[in-house]
Formats: sequence, C-alpha cells, structure tokens
Amino acid sequence: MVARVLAEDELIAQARRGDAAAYAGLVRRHQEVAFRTAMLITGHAQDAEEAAQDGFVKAWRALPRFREGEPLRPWLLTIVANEARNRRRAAGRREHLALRAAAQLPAAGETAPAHDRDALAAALGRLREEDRVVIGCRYLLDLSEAETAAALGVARGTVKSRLSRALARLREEVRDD
Amino acid sequence: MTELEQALAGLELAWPDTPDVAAAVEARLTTTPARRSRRTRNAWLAVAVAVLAGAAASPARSALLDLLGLRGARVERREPPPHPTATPGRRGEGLRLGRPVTLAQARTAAGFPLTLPASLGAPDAVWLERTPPTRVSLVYDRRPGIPRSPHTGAAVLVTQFRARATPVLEKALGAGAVVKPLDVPHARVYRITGKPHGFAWITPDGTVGFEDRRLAGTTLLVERDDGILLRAEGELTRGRALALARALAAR
Repeated sequence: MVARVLAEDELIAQARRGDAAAYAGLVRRHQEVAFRTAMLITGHAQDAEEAAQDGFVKAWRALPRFREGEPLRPWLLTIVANEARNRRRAAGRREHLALRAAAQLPAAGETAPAHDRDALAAALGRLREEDRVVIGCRYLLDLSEAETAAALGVARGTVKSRLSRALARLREEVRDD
Repeated sequence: MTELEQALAGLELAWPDTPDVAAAVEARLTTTPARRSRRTRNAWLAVAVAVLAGAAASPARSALLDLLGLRGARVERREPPPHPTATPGRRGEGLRLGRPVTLAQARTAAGFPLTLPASLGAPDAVWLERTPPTRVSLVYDRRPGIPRSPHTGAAVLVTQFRARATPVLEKALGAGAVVKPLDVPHARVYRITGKPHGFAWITPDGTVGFEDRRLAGTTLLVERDDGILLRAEGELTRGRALALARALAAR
C-alpha cells in the first residue's frame, strides 16, 4: 500500500460524504490558524479553544452548503471567528490581551532588540479588539486580505482602511509606552 | 512597508500551544451524524417529551436508556426542542418550575436539606415541582455584578433534587454544548456553555429524566456526594461560577 497525503479537495469530498476522519484531517490542517484567530478575538485560550471546536463542528454540519472549488480556509475562519465573537460578547469581557514576544535568537543583521519586540507585542495587546484582530490577522498570522475579511466578518474592501487606522493607533500606543 | 509593519511582520508571538481541536471535533462528530433523519429525531423527541410529561412508563424509559447508551446502544447527541421562556409576573413564571411556594414549604416538601448559597442572599421566589422527583427551584432576581439572563429573566436560578447525572451527562447534551469539569471538593461539577443543551438524570429509584429547559446560557451542574444534583443557571463569569459551585457543593 502506498501512503500519500491527500489533497485538500479530496479530503473535502470525503468529508462531504460523511467521513469524519477525513474532516478531522482538514481540521488538523487549519486548527492552528483558527485557534490563533479566535485567541486574537477572545483574548482567552480556553474561550479560543471552545470557539474553534464549536466552529469546526458547525462547519461540518454546514459542509453541504460549502461551494466546491472555493478556498476552504476563509470559509472556516468566518465560522470560527463568529463563534469567538459570540463567546466574547456573551462573556462581556473587554480585557487587554497579554501578548508576549517569543524568545528568539536575533537573526543575522537584525537590529530590533528583545525589549522592543516585547513592547510592540504588549502595545498590540492593549489595542481594542477590532484593531488587534486586523493587525494580528495580517502580520502575525500572515492571512491574505480575503482571509482577514472573513475573520473580521467584513467586506474585503474594508480591510485596507481598517488596517491603516489600526496601524496608526498602534504607532501611538508604541510611542506612549 | 513602514518600519512598524516590518517589525510586526518579524514579530514572533509566544502563542499558547494549539490544542488538539481535530481530535475533539472528531470525537464529537462520531456521536453527531452530519445528517440525522427526521424520523430518528422525532422518535428521540417523542421519548424525551414522554418522559418530561411524567409518562415515564417502562417502554419509554427503556427506549431512553437505550438511547443514552446505558444498555450499550448507540448514543446520539441531539438538539433539544425549543425551551420555555420566562413570562412577566413572578420571577420564574413560565419556566415550568412547578408551583410557587414559601421557603418553609419547600424545605418541608423537599425531603432533603436545601442548599442556599450565602453569597446570593435570600431567594426572591421559590418554586416546588411535586411530580417526582421533587424539585425545588430558587430564583434570584437581581444580584450585583450578574446580569439578568435572557433565558430565565433572573440573575441566577438554582434547582435541586435527588438525582445524579454523571453516567449520562456527556451523552445527552445538545450538539454544540461545551462541558468543562471544575475542580471542586465533594462533588463533580461541570460548567456547560454554548448552544442550547440538555442533560439527562437518574433518580435513586431508577427514574430517568431529561432536562432541556431554557439551558442556553451558562449552566453549572453540581453532582454532590450526598446524592443531590444542583443546577445553577445564569450569565456567570468563570470566577463567579467556580465560587457558586463551591458554595453549592458544600452542604
């Protein structure tokens, strides 16, 4: 038997036929970005985990409505991010997200010292959710504009303007620090 | 790209470890068929309704036991039917909690010592369901720091009766409900959040019931070592839920 990694569209087709293991394979591919997106929104690891789990279960039920050939990730992110927003609203929290930079060795030629990275991460965590999510999606999670729009639940055209406003506020936050 | 954008693009965050969502989802899916036939769902509803209506005659009961997997039958998570909502008037009105009584009447009728969490003060209304198992519900109308729940119209609703839920708890919850155990001495405590959900319970004499009433907010389920099951509903933060769970677990 020759093992091979199934392409995403094959997994989608199998999942649509009711194959839970194939769907779990899809979840595994996208769980990190989904969890981190939910983290940016809820600010709580446990809420993010629950949002991701519920979102993926909802997406499974909605799979018959998923249009074949469309990219899966933005579709999943829309559902998970929506769950995350519901949870944050239900919890009624508006907390700052405690973000820390990961310990890392400075890359060759890198000039930004560790404390600058920490300050930047902390400033990002102090932004209001809308700003934090748009910046986080674009720069930290490296999502495309379309994927960011899906995570924010807004039209694609709105992402650019939101991002530029959020960056301006982050700049102020870093300066005030 | 500005300097700030460059710094952001190079920023590695210390993210929490990504949980194994795929495994959890797969486990939930294997008990939640993607497309459930209307016939199956209707049969299940009929059983739950029969039990709720007090017609827990043996055929219905054994069917429910089968569905709950207590006889090794396949278990399905299900969406609970629409739940009743609070109506204006006395707090708790419209929630099918039985009849309004005084606290003294409830104490006499309950057949077990009632637990009243000191932090909530005296309840604003007390309800008694006499159809076995006897259930007492305490309604706390407004409490500082706890919003009124849209599901009960009150801040907190605590129902207590003689039963246990653990053997069937995970199995009878509605799809989409999230169950988290809380670490509390002398009791098994679960915090249930998410979509509307229900749970099944078993009384000491073997009567099985299914609770599916307005369980759409946060629910605490406290199964005490002395055989009393307490359910608290309210929009409680995690911290408040834990404090209330401890109070309900202490006799």
